Amino acid sequence: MSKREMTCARVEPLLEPYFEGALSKHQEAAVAAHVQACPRCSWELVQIEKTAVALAAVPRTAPSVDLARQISARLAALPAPVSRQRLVAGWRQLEALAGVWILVLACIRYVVPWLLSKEQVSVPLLGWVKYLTLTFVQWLIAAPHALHALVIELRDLLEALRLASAAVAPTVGFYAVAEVALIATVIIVTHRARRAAVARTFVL
Amino acid sequence: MVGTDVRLDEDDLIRLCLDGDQAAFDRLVARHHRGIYNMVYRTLGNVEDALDLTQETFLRAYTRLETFQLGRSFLAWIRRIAANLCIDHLRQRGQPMVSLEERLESGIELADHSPTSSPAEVVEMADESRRVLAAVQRLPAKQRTVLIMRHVEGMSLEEIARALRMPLGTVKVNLFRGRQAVRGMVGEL
Repeated sequence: MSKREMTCARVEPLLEPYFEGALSKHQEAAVAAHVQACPRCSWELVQIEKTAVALAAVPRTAPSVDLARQISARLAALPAPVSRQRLVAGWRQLEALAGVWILVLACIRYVVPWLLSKEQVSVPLLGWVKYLTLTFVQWLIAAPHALHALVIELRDLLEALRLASAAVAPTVGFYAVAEVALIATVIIVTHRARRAAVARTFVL
Repeated sequence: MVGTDVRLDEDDLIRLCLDGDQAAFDRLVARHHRGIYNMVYRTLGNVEDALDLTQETFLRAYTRLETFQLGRSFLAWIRRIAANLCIDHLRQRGQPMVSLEERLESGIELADHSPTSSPAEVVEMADESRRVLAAVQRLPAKQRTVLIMRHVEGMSLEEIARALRMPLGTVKVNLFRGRQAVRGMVGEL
């Protein structure tokens, strides 16, 4: 094998990166010097250039149908995208609403009867405190495990329903409805909080 | 409204769309659908597939619009979606399909030729392009996509790397191997 063939063998794999300007200055100078002196490598380089030119000259085409209108028609059938900021703002509004709702219901359920009858209503109050505490502690612990958190949430819900039904048994009617609404509100808020925690954990 | 203000930039249109104005996205479709169609068509070599995937590209962009980072290039983002759809499609399809040559003969305009080129030169260049593009259609999905993005779309290596979320070295390897394979298939130009 002659000296020049050896050199060609080393230069040939470098011709593509050389054409693309992806070699170091030292390599580039070495390849340039070789190409100038070597007809074979020079021909290879011309072929690379011609291939690139031929690709760049590929004919442009136009869609055979009114593609934009077809796309628009299909878009109309889809739900509109919503910005993240709007989603977050929506959730914050819901949370604020839920907070107000909880306060109102708590007043109706506990404060108003207490003012009217001066009765002690500690059992349901304790039940709710326990439920809320458990829920948030479990949310903090179980945040990275969405499925596990869901199971816990369902278990909590059943427990809370049991406690609530026992608490409101003497005063069924309006208060029972208010209690169920309160549970639903709390579930929504805690579910949102858990989702946020899981999203932070997994960077969804 | 969108229809009356032609100077709205793409970020404005995307903001409007995220506020529920689908007409704003229609404007983006009108601006980019031909370019995306061309890129997809040249990659796949088939009109029906190109029409389907172009539609799919915009539908996907629309449904994921909230993930687009304002201030960045919408074209680069949508090219990435199109390129990934093409790669997935080619992988699912398995064997490459070469129907582009037949379609090129059905009256497609030639572009990007110098007005001073003689008719003979134009014909010769078109013939070379057909041969080269037919060879590109035989390449593996990634090599094909990179080659189209580099030479047909005129994107830089860095832009391709960003669009395909590939390391720059991988883009280079795919480009160099792809171009080498094309030369091997086409022979002397």
